[in-house]
Amino acid sequence: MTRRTALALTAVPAAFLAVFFVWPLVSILVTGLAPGGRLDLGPFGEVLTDGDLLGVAWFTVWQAVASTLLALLAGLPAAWVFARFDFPGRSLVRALTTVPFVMPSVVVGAAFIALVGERGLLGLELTGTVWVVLVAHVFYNMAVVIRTVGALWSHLDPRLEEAARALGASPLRTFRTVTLPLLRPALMAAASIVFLFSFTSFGIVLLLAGPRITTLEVEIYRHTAVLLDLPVAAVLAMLQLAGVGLILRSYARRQDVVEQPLRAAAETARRPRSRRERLTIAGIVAATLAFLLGPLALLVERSLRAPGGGYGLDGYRAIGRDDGFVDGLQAIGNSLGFATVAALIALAIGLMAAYVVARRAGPLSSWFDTLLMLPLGTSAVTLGFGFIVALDHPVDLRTAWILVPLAHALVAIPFVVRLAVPVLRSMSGRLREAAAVLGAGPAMVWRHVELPIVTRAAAVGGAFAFAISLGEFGATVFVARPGSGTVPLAVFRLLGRPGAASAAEAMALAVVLMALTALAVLAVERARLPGSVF
Amino acid sequence: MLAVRGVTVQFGDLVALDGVSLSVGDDEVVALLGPSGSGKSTLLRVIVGLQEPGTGTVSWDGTDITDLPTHRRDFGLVFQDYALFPHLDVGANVGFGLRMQERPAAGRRQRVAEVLALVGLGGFERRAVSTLSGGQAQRVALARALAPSPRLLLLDEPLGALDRALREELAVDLAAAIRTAGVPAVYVTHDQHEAFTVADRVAVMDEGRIVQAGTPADLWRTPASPLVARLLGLRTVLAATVEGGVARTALGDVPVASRDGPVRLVVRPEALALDPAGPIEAVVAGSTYRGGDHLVAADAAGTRVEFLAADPPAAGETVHLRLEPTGVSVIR
Repeated sequence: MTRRTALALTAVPAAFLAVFFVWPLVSILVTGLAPGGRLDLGPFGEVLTDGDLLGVAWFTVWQAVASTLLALLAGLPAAWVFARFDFPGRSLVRALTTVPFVMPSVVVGAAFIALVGERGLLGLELTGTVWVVLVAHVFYNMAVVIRTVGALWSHLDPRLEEAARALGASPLRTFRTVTLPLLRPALMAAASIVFLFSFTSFGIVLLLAGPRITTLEVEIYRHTAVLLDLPVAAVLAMLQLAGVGLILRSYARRQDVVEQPLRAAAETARRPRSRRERLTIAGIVAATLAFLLGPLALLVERSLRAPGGGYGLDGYRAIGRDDGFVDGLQAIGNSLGFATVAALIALAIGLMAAYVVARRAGPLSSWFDTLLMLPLGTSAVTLGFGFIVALDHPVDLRTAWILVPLAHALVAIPFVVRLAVPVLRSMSGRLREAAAVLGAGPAMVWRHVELPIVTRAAAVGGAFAFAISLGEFGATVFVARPGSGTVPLAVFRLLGRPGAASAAEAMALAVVLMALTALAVLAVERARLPGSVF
Repeated sequence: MLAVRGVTVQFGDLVALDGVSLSVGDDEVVALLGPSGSGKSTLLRVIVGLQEPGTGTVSWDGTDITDLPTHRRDFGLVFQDYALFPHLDVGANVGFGLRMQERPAAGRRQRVAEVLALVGLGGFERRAVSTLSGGQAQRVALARALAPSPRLLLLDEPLGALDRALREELAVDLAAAIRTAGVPAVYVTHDQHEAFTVADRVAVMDEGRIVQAGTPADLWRTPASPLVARLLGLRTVLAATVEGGVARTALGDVPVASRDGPVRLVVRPEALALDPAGPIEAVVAGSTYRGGDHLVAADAAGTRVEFLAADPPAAGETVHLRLEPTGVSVIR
C-alpha cells in the first residue's frame, strides 16, 4: 500500500469522525461552558451545587459498580463450565447465552416489564425500584463475563491448578491463589466493559426505573427533551464523558498485562468424570439458561395474550393499524431502511479504517485506532444530544432523516473496525507469500486470497452494524422526528401508554424487533463459519 | 539444477547470509542444518524469491532467476506455520496452485485427490482447515506444495511445530512422500535426526555461512568443527598432539591420518567399548536407554565420554574401556 493510498484511507474516516463525532462533542462543550457566546460557569455551578443532580451522579456510579459485581458473580460459574468441560450441546448452549447481549434495550425492558412489572408473571412488582435495574444489567451483561473470562479460562493450563492441588491447596484455595490471579486480566477487562455499559445504560433505566430513579443519561435526556435546559444537559454530558474517559483509560492500561503460557482450548476441556460433576454442570447450565432466556420467552408469551383474556394475535394485528399514536408498519419500514443505510455507511467508513489499522499503515495509525474507539465509549445519549446542538449549520441537518442512520453508523463503526481488523490481519504476509509461491501474481493474490477474506469481514461487519442500528435507542430518541420513528421508539412510546391494548402491541413489536435482530446476528455467525468459496 | 552463487543478505548491521553458495541436483534432497539464526531460513527465502539477495545469484539449469518474481519460479514451499488459507477448505487449499496454472476443474480434482492420497489424507477435500490437527495441517501444506508439480520443493522447518514423537514419525513419511513425488528438495531444520532421515546431503550452516556439506555418513565420520560435532550430538571432543601419525590424548594413543601438531579429535560413542582389560578407567555418571542398547555417560581423565552398552553399569561404578581408532576422527 502506497503512502498516498494510506493517507486517503485515513483521511475519509478521520473527516467523518471530525464532522459527526468531534464537532458535536465540541458543541456540547461550548453549550455547557459558554451558553451565551461568552465563558459562563453558571450552568456548571448550578449542577455542582444541586444536591439532586449530585445524587444522580452518585447513583449512576454505584448502580454501575453493583451491576458489575453481580454480573461477575453470576457469570463466573457458566464461564467455568464452558471453559473446563466438554459436554453435548456445549457450543449451542454457549451461543444461547449471548442472546440477551445482542438484544435491543427496549426488548430487554419489555421482557422485564412482562416479568416483574405491574401484572407481571412473578406477581412481584419491581419496576420503579433499583433492583430491576441491577437485575436487567446483569441479564444484559452476563454474556460479556462468560465470553471474556471464559475465553481466557479455556486457555489456562489446567495443570497449574493440578500442581497447586498436588502441593496441598484445597479447591477453594487453589481457585483463590492460582485461578483467580491468572484470570485477572480477563476479569478486569470484563468488569471495565460491564461497568461502562451499566454506567451509560439508558433504555433500561428509562423504561424500568420509574420517574424517581434516574441516572446521568436519563437526566441529560430529561433536561434536553422535557426541561429544555440545554446548558445543564451539556454539563451533565461532560461529567458523563469524563467518567467514561476514566474507565476507558484504566481499561487501556490493563490491556498489556501478563504474558502466560496458553494452551489450545481443546486440550483444556474434558468430559465430566463423576455424577456430582455432571449434576453441578447441569445445574449451572439450567440456571443460566433459565435466567437468560426465560424473560425473552415470557415476552413472546405475553405478546400472544389477548387484551380481553386468553390468547390471540391482537397485538400483532395492532401493528398493522395506524392509530394516530404509533404506526407500527411505518416504524418497521423505517427501522429496516435506516439499518440498511447505517450498515452501508458504517461499512464504508469502518472498512477503510480497519484496513489502515490492520496494516499498521499510514501516519499515526495507533492514534487513529484510539480515535476510532472513542464513539464506543461515548454514550449514545451524548452522541444524539451532540447531533442536535451541533448540526444546525452550515446546513440544518437536525430534521433530516439521514441523521438517524448517521447516528447509528457512528455507534456501529467501532464494532465494524474491531470485527474487521482481526479478519484482515489473518490475511498475514505468510498467506500472500504462500499464494505467490503457488504461482499467484499480485492481481491473483488480491482476487483469490485478499478479496474473499475482505468480503467476509464486510459481511460480518455489515450484519453487525445492521443489528446495532435496529436496536439503537439512546441516540434515536434525540434525532428521530415524527415520521422517522423506529421500532424501539414505537415500543417505548407504547409501553408508556396505559392500557392492555397498548401493552399487547408493545410486546408484539418488541418480539418483531427481537426476531429481526436475531436474524441479523445469525447472519454474522454464519458469515464467520469457515467454508469453501469453490 | 539449482545453483546459488555467493549470496549475501544483510539486515541493517546483521549479516544473515555471508557469501553462500549451494547447488542442488535434479533428484537430490539437501538439508540445511543449523542453529536458529544461522541463516538457513533466509537462504530458503532467497531461493524461493521472497528475499532479495544483496549480492550473488540464484539460477536454475543455467538460467539466472535472481530477479524472477516468486510466482513465476514454479517452486513449492512448505511453511513452518503451514500458512493454509483460512477461507478455503482442504481441497481448495491443495488445488490453489493448480487454479493458478488454469488447469481444468476435472483435472484439478483428480490431482488434488492424488496428492492427498500421497500424504495419507485421501478423502479430506471438504474438511475446513480449522478442524485439522497439527500433523494433518502439515500434511495438507505438503500436499498443497506438491500439487502443481513444482520443479523444486522447499521446506522451512516443516515439522518444527509438532511434538517429538509425531516429528519422528512424520519425518519418515515426509521423506517417502518427497521420493515418491520425485522432486528435488531443500529442507531446513535444526534437528540432526530429521536432516539425516530426509536428506541425501546435509549442509551445516552457522552465522550465515555453510561450514560443511556432505552425506550424513561423511558428516558423522568427519565433522569439520566442534560446532558440527555438537549439532550432530557428538559431545566428546579431545585436544591432542600428533607425532608421526599417532595422536596422544588423555585417553591414550590413537593412530590418525594427520600431519604433526596440535589437533582436536571427536570421539564417537562407538569408539569406546567396555573391556575389563582396557587401559582407560572411567566413573559412570549415568545412562540413557535408547531401545536395544544404552548410551552411557562416564568421566575419564577429566573428560566426559560416551559409549554404548547392552547391559549398562550403575552410576558411580568404575569401569574399564578400550579405544577403537575407527570411532575417532580429526577435526580439521
